[in-house]
Amino acid sequence: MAACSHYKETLVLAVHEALTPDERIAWEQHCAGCEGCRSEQERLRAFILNAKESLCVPALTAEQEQALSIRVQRALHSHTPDARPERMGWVLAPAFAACLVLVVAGWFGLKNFSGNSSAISPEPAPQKITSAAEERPEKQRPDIAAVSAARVPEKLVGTGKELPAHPVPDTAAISPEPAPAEIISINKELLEYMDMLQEIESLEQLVRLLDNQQETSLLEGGSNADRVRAHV
Amino acid sequence: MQDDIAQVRKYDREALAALFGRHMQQAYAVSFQLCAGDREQARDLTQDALLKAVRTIDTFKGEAAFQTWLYRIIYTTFLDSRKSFVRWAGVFSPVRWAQQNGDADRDIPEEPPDSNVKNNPLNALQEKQLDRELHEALHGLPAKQRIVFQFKVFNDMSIKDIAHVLNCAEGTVKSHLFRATQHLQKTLRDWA
Repeated sequence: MAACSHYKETLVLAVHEALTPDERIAWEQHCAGCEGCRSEQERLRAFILNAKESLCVPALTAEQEQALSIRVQRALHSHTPDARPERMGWVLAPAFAACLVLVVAGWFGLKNFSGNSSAISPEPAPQKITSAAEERPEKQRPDIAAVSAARVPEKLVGTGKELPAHPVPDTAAISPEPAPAEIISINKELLEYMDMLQEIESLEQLVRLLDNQQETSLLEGGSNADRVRAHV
Repeated sequence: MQDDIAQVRKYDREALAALFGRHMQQAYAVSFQLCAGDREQARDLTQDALLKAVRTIDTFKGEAAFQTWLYRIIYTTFLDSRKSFVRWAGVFSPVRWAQQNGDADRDIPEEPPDSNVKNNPLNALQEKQLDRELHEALHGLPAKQRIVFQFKVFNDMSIKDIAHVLNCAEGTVKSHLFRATQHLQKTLRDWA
């Protein structure tokens, strides 16, 4: 007799003792009247027990345990905060020496190179190369006064109604109270902030997704870049 | 527990020895599952994780059990080691890395020690056959399903603890567990 198909997941979770109390009560009630589910549960339980006995995790021997404990303690004591400056010194000293050697070698190398190059080309370089920019004729600039005079309509010339050179609107006359402008600018800023928040939220989601994908790919040892791209 | 932690923070030898004595075997068992049965790797992982746990013991707030917190550290250390391994393997020998990934024999663990049922040669043969097939079936599972199944069945961890270690929802853990069990049942139909 086969188990009920809609109780498959409950059956497996019941065997693993992963049901909530309510689910367990419902499942036990069902099992009381269903022979198929009961026998399937027993079979699955026996299979899992068999698997557990078959693939038992080997324990560490007492020697291995002690050796591991000693190694960890040794590593801990060699990395105490007091020991750090000494270690840093040991790391930095060879690095500093290597840098010094490189600088000295580079200095002498350059000196030799410049000496050799002067020996190869004894003739001095030409004193001055006339640039193309210098040869270019000076660009003729238009006379601004003449241009502005030409733009004024002939009828207005001499009447005193000529337009000013740079017409500036009187902002005080247009908006005597600065409050609405401030409100508009605050609204704009708020909108900008809201946009930024939305962007940050979407970025956070993307980062979470990428983390999850990276973890899965690390566990499975392969690349999931395509799947991430598909999600994005 | 708080006193023990205070002593551990000072790297007190006795406190450290007591802490390791309490959690070493379980930590090794979890590492062994994560390292797919490689004992050397499991020992290294246990060592690195214990070292990290003692150094970052200030971050233990007591929200979960100490053991669960330690398992979480083992899991993150394992992920870090995988990350660096993948990076260096990619730099030095991408071809060999690809070959190793496709090599199924790599995952077969060392033979477990003989138990009392091995007196009968036929039983012994059947047991070994089951071991091999079970191991292959387990490693045919997606990594998270395998880890969830191993944590639940071989390490007797609760769904809540597994969810905490893997940093995912309990529903997700149950789903992984269900799928893994179904897959194993189908694959090992002759044994089930």
